[in-house]
Amino acid sequence: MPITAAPASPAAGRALDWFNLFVANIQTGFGPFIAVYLISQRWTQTAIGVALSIGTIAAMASQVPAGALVDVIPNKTRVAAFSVVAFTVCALMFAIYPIPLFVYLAEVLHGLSSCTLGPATAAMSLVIAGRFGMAVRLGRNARYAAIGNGLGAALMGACGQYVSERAVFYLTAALTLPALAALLPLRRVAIARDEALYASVVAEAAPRGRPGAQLLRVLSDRRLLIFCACAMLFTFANAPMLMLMSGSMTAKVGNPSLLIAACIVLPQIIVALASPAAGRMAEARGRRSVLLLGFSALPLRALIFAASSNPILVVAVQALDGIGGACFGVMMPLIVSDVAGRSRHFNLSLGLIGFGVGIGGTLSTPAAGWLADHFGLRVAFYALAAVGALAVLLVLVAMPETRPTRDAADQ
Amino acid sequence: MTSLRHRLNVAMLTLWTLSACHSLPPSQLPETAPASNAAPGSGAAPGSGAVSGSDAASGSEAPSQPSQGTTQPGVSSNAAQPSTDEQPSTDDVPNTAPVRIPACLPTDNGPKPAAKRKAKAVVHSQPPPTAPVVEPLPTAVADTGVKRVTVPETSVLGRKVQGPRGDDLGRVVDVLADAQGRVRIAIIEFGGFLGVGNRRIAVDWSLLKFHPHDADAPVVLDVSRDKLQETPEYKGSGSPVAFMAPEIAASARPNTPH
Repeated sequence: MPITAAPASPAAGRALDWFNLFVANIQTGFGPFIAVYLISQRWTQTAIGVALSIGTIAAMASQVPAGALVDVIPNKTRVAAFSVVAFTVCALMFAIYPIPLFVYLAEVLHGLSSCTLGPATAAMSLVIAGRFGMAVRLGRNARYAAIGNGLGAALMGACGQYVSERAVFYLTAALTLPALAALLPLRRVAIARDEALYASVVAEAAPRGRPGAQLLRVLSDRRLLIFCACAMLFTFANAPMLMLMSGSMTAKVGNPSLLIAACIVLPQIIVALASPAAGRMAEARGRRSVLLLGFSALPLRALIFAASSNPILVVAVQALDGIGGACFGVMMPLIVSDVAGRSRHFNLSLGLIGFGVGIGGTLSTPAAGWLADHFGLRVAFYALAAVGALAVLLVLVAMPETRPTRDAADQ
Repeated sequence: MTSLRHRLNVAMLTLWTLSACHSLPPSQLPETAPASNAAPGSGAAPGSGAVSGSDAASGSEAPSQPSQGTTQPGVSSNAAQPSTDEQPSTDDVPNTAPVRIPACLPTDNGPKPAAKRKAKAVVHSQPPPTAPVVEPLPTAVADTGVKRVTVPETSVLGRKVQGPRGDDLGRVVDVLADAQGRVRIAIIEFGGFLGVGNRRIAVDWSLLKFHPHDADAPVVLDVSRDKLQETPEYKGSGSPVAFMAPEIAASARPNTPH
């Protein structure tokens, strides 16, 4: 098996580390900060809402098609490079000419290229590390992405505070350059190994000529669907938690920017520390146990938030968010690679999970906000804890182990 | 569900205004304020209505005369008056589009060809047929419009808000008017980090102090942090607004200072 035989070259591995770091850096600027920036550009609330909705819809709608697209493009490094260049364009559009047309275009472009970049990165990882090195490789990916997120939040928070909101997007655009540079050493490696992978995949794949049937088989894979449901529930419970908590902190503490920054950065530190361990544990003890561990941290955190809103405690409990984030961040591409890694629909399957996660995240924030408005913050946290517990239960009851065994790998 | 529908509606509306806004040159933006001001003025009292009517007549007779500008003070004083009557605005649809235009305000940062402006002016002369009373106003508006452009303080959206000691309190993100069109409440967003954990509160308009000479200076909100935190979060214009009032008997307070 050419996929597993060759060990990952250290240079390619390091390049992928840097790439993950810079991409995470870049993505920090495109988060909720866009609303802040558009306010400073005298946008009305309605127009900002439209812009963010367009971004959400574009990201959701392009998950699955983008996955399918990445599947048919053999050179994943090129996909990644194009996605990063698209980020450059988006950031510059935001920074230079924030009129509605360009902002909407940038939102759509960003949604689409995020959807191609995620699968492309996972595919490059698979190519570099091989199937059995994937767990450890993804742990490293998550570590460097977390470092990038933390650094990006600190850097861009400072930039927005002390320079200007607009400068954040210039910084974002500038950070796409090192990301592209990090891809350079990956170029030859990925192409060479990708051909090997591709050849082996084509050789191993089910009889060609009926791609539709194989596609259907992958998408109706029970493991994939159950994991998709788990991921959706987890994200549903996880996404609004920080928003709710930090909103109530702003109400209590006068200007909690530092506290909220701590709530964002601390979990990233934990993710950076714990991700490789999560990857190793997934290899040693199986995917299920890592999933159970990470998912269990979520309802626990929700219950603690419901019980107390002491700012110090809140920041401390955010460490649990880091554990959940590390486990989920590593398990999501890993389980998909277990299930679909050798089919030709790895990226499509990733897109499907991404779609489920996106649905969960999009629906939950307004739902949790509604609960908090009508029944209070505590009830909202209880509800999120219940959904999180449901995700744990689903893993416990229905999720099968997907870790490939070396002798069964050739089946 | 309803909120979803509302959001969709809003989206459609904004897209519509977007297109409208792009078709109109930026110089038309200022027109919105004078138009709404003048219109209420005509309805406020029979006397003023007659005045604006005469304005209208003279305007229609000789729109190209520069001397028309001298009669304009009447109009501008109208504009300065608090307008209590909004009837005229309801019957001409075009008005609603301009009012929404702030969504596109950033547009007028960009350079615009002068030729377009002229073309717009031509377009602008068309609306009058619908309502004869409104017809004269556009010409008067064109003059006031020019003045307005030189005074950027009309843009309150996005303005920074400072506390009594110059501390950063956030930005004005929305301005609410009552049924009569009087500006009553500013929505201020503060707190948060990179957009996470922001909080919005509604503040009585009269609490905001504007710098008399520097239009770009931050607005000052002279209240303590405790007061800010007491004020409940603003949840959007669909729900009843609890706002920070100058005194406790907010509803019983005297008329807004004109």
